[in-house]
Amino acid sequence: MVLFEIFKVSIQNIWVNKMRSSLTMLGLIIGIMSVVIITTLGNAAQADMAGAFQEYGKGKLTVNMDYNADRPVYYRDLFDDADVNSMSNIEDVVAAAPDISRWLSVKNEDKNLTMEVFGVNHDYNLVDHIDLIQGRFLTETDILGRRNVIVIDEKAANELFGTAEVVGETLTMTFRYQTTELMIMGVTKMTDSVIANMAMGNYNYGYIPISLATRVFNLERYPRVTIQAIEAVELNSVGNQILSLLERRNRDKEIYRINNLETGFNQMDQTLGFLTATISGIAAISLLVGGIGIMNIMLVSVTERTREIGIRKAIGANRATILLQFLLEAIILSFLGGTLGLLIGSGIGFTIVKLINLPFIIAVDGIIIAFIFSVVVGVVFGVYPANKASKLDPIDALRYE
Amino acid sequence: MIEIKNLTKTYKNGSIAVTALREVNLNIEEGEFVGIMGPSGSGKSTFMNIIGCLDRPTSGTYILDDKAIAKMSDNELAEVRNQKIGFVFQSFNLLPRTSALKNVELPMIYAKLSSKERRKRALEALDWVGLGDRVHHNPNELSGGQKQRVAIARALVNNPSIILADEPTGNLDTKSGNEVMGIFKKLNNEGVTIILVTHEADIAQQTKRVVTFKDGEIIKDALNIGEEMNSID
Repeated sequence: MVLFEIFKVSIQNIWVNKMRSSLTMLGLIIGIMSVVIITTLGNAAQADMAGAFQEYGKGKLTVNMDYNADRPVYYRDLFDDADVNSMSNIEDVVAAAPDISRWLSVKNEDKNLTMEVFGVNHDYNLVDHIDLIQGRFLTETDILGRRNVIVIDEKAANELFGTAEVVGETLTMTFRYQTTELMIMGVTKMTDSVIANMAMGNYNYGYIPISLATRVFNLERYPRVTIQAIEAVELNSVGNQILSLLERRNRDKEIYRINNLETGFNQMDQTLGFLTATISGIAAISLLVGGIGIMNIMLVSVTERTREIGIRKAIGANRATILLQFLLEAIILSFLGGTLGLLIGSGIGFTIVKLINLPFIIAVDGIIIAFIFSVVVGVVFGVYPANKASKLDPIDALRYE
Repeated sequence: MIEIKNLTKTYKNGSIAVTALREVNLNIEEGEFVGIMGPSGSGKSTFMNIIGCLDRPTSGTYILDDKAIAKMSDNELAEVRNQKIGFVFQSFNLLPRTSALKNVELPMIYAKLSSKERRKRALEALDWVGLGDRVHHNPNELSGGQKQRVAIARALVNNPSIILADEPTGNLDTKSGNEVMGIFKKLNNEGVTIILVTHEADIAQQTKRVVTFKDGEIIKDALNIGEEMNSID
């Protein structure tokens, strides 16, 4: 009851001094706004990456040669078809697909670019998520017939031909002075993930039949196998099964390296989370500055309203009432500032996220931090001026000019 | 109603002790209209502050409505000020940018009355002082006399035991001053105890009893009978 009246008085005082109140809140508005924008962007980036991972990386392992091992990698260490077959027979493995890739230059008339060309089988899309916007992927006939065909990515198509509608066109691939004419059969779609696209930069890629690749690259064995495991399974155990399988096949298991995309993703996710938290923390320092601003104004306000405090005391307000009135004023100011900062920050965060096409996720953590912080700032920086007000001697306060 | 015995107030200013009141004794009964006179520095302001429970004596006793005030805590004093004392100041001391009505409601907020009751009593009080048509005006829209009448309404709205008026006509022209004095007389006729501090003899003349201070002591305590003053001791 009395609390409500005091609350009304505090609101009135803030309202009467509109200009000063809004300037006081500005520090806090900016502080909370920055924290919210950063957490919104961080959350969006994390969600985007998680989405990309769900699409491309879930349950995926690659088995590579470890070129940093104690001894060099020999030709006999590479995988043959029998290795790949026995890998795909492991219980938790959905598919095992070998590939050979080389960086080489491709050309259409006077335009050329560097591209990583993968020799793969027609069922490669069992281990890699391939979306086509034009044409088709490699078929069994392409592989068996060792046909001169290629599937390239959308960006490369645009760069070489100025359009994505390039099915039926031919391009020239040059590898060690040997040129091969390839007919384009399909164009892959770029990923929706903004972060993934940013990370890819100028990366271009194409797929050719593995039978063609072994001949052009002059390599009958495969340096890498990509494994798609069933989703629920523990990937490390699949990796261990593959290593022991290779050991049973009389291979030196020290020369192989299993890459778990999940581990990589989790590391990146953690890094991004840490980065977001750190930058938010730095932004939160401005909240401190905002808090000091509030304390400053409240101190001015106490001095300015000394007489008012005297009147209220003479009329019967006790210390607690005066303390509460000024404390509430500081808390309301900081709370309002926090709320405004939150709204503005969410608005800006939403706009940026939508502009760069990231998923928008309401920053619940940011909102909670913002509210707790703004109230805490109000209390911490409001207590001193409020206490000062409550301790004023009514006689002196009434005499104050 | 008011019983003051051996009241002494000493201020310590560094190493120098100044005695503002020295062994003051005074009784005031319910329904009295007392004027307190004295030159500045005579101790009358200190005396008012103590009667008004804004300050505590160094020694001696002050009993208001059978309650010993001298040893009360700050919070208890605040409650006594709220319930038993109504202040009227020379410089009005109304809250700025706050309507007459809200100003009069203020003591009742601290008395924890309901907003309905507050409004009703504030309107009655403002009506009683003749400002029934000015309730929503802010102090800066009122004349000095009107401001002082709002202050009087505020002072009496909690039905206090005493109304303490400190130079209530000091900032007013003669006409407004007379109006304000008229209101005090009317209040007193209704049985309200009033203590009025002034240095103007003609204002003191309008009270029923004049107590004169000098150098921290009461040098004269006389009833006003008509134009004459008769010593009672």
